[in-house]
Formats: sequence, C-alpha cells, structure tokens
Amino acid sequence: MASSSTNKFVLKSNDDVSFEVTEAVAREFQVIAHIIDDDCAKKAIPLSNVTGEILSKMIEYGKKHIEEAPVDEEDEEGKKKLQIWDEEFMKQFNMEIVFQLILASNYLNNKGLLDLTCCTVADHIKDMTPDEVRTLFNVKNDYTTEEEEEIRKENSWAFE
Amino acid sequence: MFLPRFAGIKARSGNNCSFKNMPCLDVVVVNVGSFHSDSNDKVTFCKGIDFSQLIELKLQPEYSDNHWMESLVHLLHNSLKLRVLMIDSVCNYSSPLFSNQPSSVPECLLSHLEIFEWEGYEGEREEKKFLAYILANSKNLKTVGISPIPFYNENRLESERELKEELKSMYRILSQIPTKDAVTTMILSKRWRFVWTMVHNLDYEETDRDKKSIWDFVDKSLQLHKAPILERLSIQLGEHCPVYADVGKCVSHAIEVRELYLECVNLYDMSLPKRLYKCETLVKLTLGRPILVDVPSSFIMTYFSSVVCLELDSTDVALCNGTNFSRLMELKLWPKFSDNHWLEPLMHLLHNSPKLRALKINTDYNNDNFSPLLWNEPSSVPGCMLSHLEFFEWIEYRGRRAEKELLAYILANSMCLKTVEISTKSWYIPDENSPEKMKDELESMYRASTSSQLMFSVDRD
Repeated sequence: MASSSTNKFVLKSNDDVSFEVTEAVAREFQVIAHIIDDDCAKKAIPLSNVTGEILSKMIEYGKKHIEEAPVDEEDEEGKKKLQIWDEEFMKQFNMEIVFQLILASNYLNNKGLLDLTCCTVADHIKDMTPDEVRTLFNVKNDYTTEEEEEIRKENSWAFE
Repeated sequence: MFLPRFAGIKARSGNNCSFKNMPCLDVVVVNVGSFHSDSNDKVTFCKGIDFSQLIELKLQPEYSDNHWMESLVHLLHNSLKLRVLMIDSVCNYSSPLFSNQPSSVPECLLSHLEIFEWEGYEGEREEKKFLAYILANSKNLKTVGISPIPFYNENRLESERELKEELKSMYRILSQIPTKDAVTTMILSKRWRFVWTMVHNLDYEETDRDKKSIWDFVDKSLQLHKAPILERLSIQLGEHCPVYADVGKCVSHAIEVRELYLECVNLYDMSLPKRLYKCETLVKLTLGRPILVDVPSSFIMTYFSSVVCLELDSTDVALCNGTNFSRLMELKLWPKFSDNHWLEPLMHLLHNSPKLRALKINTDYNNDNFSPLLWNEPSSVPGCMLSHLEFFEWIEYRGRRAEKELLAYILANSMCLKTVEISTKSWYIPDENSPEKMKDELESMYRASTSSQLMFSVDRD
C-alpha cells in the first residue's frame, strides 16, 4: 500500500488535459490498472475516449472512493456515508454529462461509477412517456403508424 | 402458388409483411436468385419455402438473436442450388447456439456451395462448431473468407463498436427500472424493439394498484427475454393470480440466475423447476409464502449447492426433506402469522446447512395467541452450530417459553458464536418484569462460546 500511495501517474484526456494521480486512484479504473500491471505506464497514459471535463469528475469520484472506502463489508455507516456523497455528486450533472460519464466509466471500467450513473438515468426515466424518453436518448421513431399499431397489438400484454 | 419472378429479395427487419402473412407457404416455389435477410424472423418464416432457384444468400442476424444458426440450416435445406453464402454477424451480440447437429447435410453444401464468407466471426465455441460443420460438409467450396470485422469498411467497425458499448449501457439502465417500464421501450424505435430483452434484472411486482394479475405479463415477457445470465429475478404475484399460473415453468426460462425472489400469495402447490436445484449460479434465494421445495433424494447432495444466502418468510416451505444447502452462509427467517410449528423445520434446516455463519430470526408477525409455540430438543446438534455459526440475531423476541428454550439451546451449543443480538418491544415484557430482568435472564443463560458478546435492546415505540 505504501508504494501505491507514493507512486504517481499522469492521465491525459483526448483534449490534452493532464491529471497527476496516485497509483491507488489510477487503479480505481481497471483498464488503467492493467496498463500499470503490464508496465506500460512509464509516461503519461493517454485516454483517447475521455475529455478533460469528464476525466476530472471521474478522478474526483475515484479519489473519494479511495479515501472514504468502508473499512470492511460490515461497515454500514461508512457505506451509507459514501452513498450520500454519491447522490450529492450526481446532482451537479445534466443528463448529457451523465451519458458521457456512463460511456467513459464503461470504457475505463469502473463498475461503481457505471452503476451509479446508470441508476441516475434509470431514476430519471422512470415516469417518462415514450416521447420524452425518445427525446432524452435522441431516438428517432422509425415505426410507421401501422407498424406501431401492430406492435402494440401483438404485445398487448405489455401495454395494458 | 407462385410468386412473381423476383430477381432478388431484400428482407429488412420491421417489414413483417414479407413472408409471414402469405398463405400456403408449405408448397411455394420461389424463383429467387438472390436473397438478403437481416432478421432471423425472416429466416424462420422461410422454413417451409422451397428456394429451388436460390443462388446467393446473405444473412445478417439481428443483434439479440441467438438461434440464427439453426434457422439458417433450415433455409439451406430448402435452397438446393445455393452457390454463395454470406453471413454478417457483426451486429449480433448474442451468444449463438448450434446445439443440434442437423440430422442430414443440406444438399447445396454437398453439391453447389462455392463461396462462403463470414464477417463478424469471433471464434466462440458454438460459432466454431457451425464453421466446422460448413467446412466439413461443403465438397465444392472454392473460396472461404472469415473475419471478426467487416471486410471492407473500417468506419463501420468503429461505429458498430460504439453502438455495442452504447447498447450495453442501455441494458444496464433498463435493468434498473421496473420491468414493466423496460418492456414498453420496445415502442421507441425499431432498434429499441429488442433492447429490453437483454436486461439482466427482471423485477415483477403486483401492487395494490393492479386491478388484474400481472401473471400474463410475467409469462409473456419471460418467454421473450434473451439475456444469458440474470443478476436478479424477482416475481411477486398478488391475489388476482390465476390458479393455472405455472410459476415453476416460467422460472425455468431463466437459465442462469444469481438472485431469485419468489412470492405468490395464492398459489399453494407451486413447485420449483428441477433445473433450479442444480443451478450453479444461484447465490441468493428468497421464498415467501408456501412454496413446495420437493427434492427427489437422488440429487440431495447437489441441490442448491451454490446458494449462499436464503430468506424465507414461512417454514411451510417443506425444506426439511433432504434439501442440502451445502454453501449456505446466511439464513433469514420470518415465521408467519399463525405458524406455531416453525422451530422444528428450522432445526432441520440448520442440520442441512453445514456452513451457516449467520442466523437471523424476525418474529415480528408471528403470533401464537391461538396455540402455543412448540419446541422439542433435537436429538443431535446441527453441525453448523459446532463449527461455523458466528452471528445470531433475533428481532422481536418475546420471551415465550419455547422461544427461551430455543435461545438457550442455540447459546449452549454454538461453539463459535461471536455476536448475539436480541431485541424486543416494551409491550412484550409482562408487567411484573422489567427490561433489566429480561436482560439478566438472557445473560444468565449458559454460552458455549465464552468470548461471545450478547447485545440486548428494547424498542419502545
């Protein structure tokens, strides 16, 4: 643990913003952990799919989860504290940013952040109409009126 | 009946009109020279059609379709003169199945097929089997092209990759919303039609708002669902549930599941599907209300071998007969309202859970105003008490005679106990007693594990 708190790595976003992080924080992202393990992390680690704005938020999340990690499985209080922080953390973003965070945490493979961001979207769409969901996901309705009618009829069990 | 002489047909998904609605398909002879299909539905529709003139076939299995290989073999059987077969499974993200080797080799392989191309081949086990089958049986094959990526289009590869990642995120998002809402996303667009079928959580709950049973919805959607592994399957059926509902059969659609929650208020003789007992991915099982766990003795040792956490809200569950929870570490039990026979089945269950570490009992609902709780000391001590049980919790302990006897028995025989947590409510304590007296009584009980800690609390509200 001593070495991972002193070892530093530089993560570089696709718009050339660099962040220096400790090894422990870098390892929060599995893809980067693999790069470190393969000893390919001598210089800055370029991350071609993540912008500086998104990466800084991901690092903030990773840092917090290292610093405030629950002591063990039974540390309910620690878990609760972190959960409250997570909720507050997500409140600052609009959906556009949340989607970018989903793709980036998927790409860098951080399961915690991926679950958190997906949950945020799920909460958001729970009571939406199909049209509202289409707008949010940028989906074009390519069914004709007849096709849509047929799908509703064929799957009437789903729309009752 | 003859179709007009098409030189080629291109069937695209969404055009449901293509073959499905045509009568007399069994004997149709189609003069098609080239046939493109991008959806397996189309291939299935073609089952009975004889493509006697077909020379070229291009197939793009739809992304969630895992039966396209078998359907394709049917189509090959009916395409006697096929010379060119092109598969493009770049967009297919399912794990395809090719389990049944066809009983006979399609004629076109033996005598006509010259060119075989497969884009999107990823070398999965079933894909390998299918490829080997084609290569081993095609006697006239001249050219074979196999590639994991599209042959000529780098950009397409990149956008397919992005799409694949995007879809994975969508599965995750839809997994977090009630299944009822997830399913209705099929109406968003053609691409979205099948996204919901890949979600890895299915959560069905009949609420008081539901005027009729959700059974039909559960049954239909589980039949269409395709994700290979389910993280969680939760089915709560309410009082409107029809008597013919076969929950066992419907659960068996979920081939691999990690957490299973079942509660069916008015089905009394429901049994679980046999394959579930041997399901190796199952780690958490929660059963509410009477569910018959009926285990033939020949399988005793393997049944439920992977379940780590079990929650039961009634011991009407006939678990006693031979079910072996060989890896069970945590057991939560809510004896139901008028059940005064739960102690004995509990002891049976403990006997069959050799590795149990935590036992939690909540007698919140349990009420024996009508007949007293019965306790008989078992003839031998369950193995888990001698070597594994570390944590014991009892919520809403009332100090009834049989409860005291059970508690004394657990404390006196559990060698490894570390923590005991007992809580009660103030109104359970008879007037002549005080909370202190109850506490003293608990602390004076003999404990086999002398280092164990006993915590006692009284809930006053």
